[in-house]
Amino acid sequence: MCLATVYIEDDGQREEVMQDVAWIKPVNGGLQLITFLGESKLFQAHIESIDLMNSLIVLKRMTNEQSHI
Amino acid sequence: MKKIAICGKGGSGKSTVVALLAHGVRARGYRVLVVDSDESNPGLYRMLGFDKRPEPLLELVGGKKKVFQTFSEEPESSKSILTQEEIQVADIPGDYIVERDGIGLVCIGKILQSLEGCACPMGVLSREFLKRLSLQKDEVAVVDMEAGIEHFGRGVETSIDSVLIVTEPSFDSLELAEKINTLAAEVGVECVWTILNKIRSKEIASRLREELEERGISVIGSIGYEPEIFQSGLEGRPVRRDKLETDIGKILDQLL
Repeated sequence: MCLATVYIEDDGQREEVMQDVAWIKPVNGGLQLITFLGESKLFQAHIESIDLMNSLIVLKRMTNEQSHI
Repeated sequence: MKKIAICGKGGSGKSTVVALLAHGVRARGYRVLVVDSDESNPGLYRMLGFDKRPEPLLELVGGKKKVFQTFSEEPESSKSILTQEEIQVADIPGDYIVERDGIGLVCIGKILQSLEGCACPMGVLSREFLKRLSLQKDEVAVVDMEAGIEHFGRGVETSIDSVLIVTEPSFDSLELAEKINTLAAEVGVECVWTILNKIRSKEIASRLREELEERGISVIGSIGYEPEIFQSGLEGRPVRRDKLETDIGKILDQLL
């Protein structure tokens, strides 16, 4: 399916954070995820990988140092 | 009350069965909400006897193209019934439902232009709408699914109580019924049956029934081939159930 399930990696652990994500945009050094129905979440993270074949996006949480750059 | 999805091969008669069942369920005293979840076929509203199609629910979120602009600029302003955890039939705004004599019709969305992209958003909308749809005791939802099995991949059936697989006398239709039976069980649908459709003789019905039962699929009933239905389909007229009342009645006895 085209809409993505998004995971976030933190300390080697992978956790699902959102389903049906339709849009991702950079906001304040982080990433805003918006679902098809308009639910929105902001993460201090960068994109680790995008798997379009399986509709999976993996984010990696920024360390405190990275998020202040 | 119940959410019933009508699945099957393209051309097997899903929309006709939806119309026949909707009228049959209504005749038993239930209010019926028909959900048009097929993004291709345009004429379900005519089969049900409506003059016009309702606005697609996809427009409640601005349609595929406008929605990003709306959400990214001002997410808080884009509240609609689709953000509610529970949606009652009465919550659906007037432009998005057509109703008459206790039967309502809503439409998820249609592919309108070439190169407009895939139908995944409509699959998600179908899934979320059906999940949130809260029916009263005297209400039944009948869902006209798109042909084939892609909707199972999108999880549209996760909140469906019964799946009816419309099976016409063809090998492909039997093969697909077997696949749908498996997929429906995998997503946790409690009741999965086939309806034999376009049946011209008892011999054909028996042959199909044997074939399906060998594949572990239950048959809930059989709908005869009716020239009047064929003719109304050709002319875009409403489907009449007069001559099929007995067939539909037997199915509803088990379904409701």
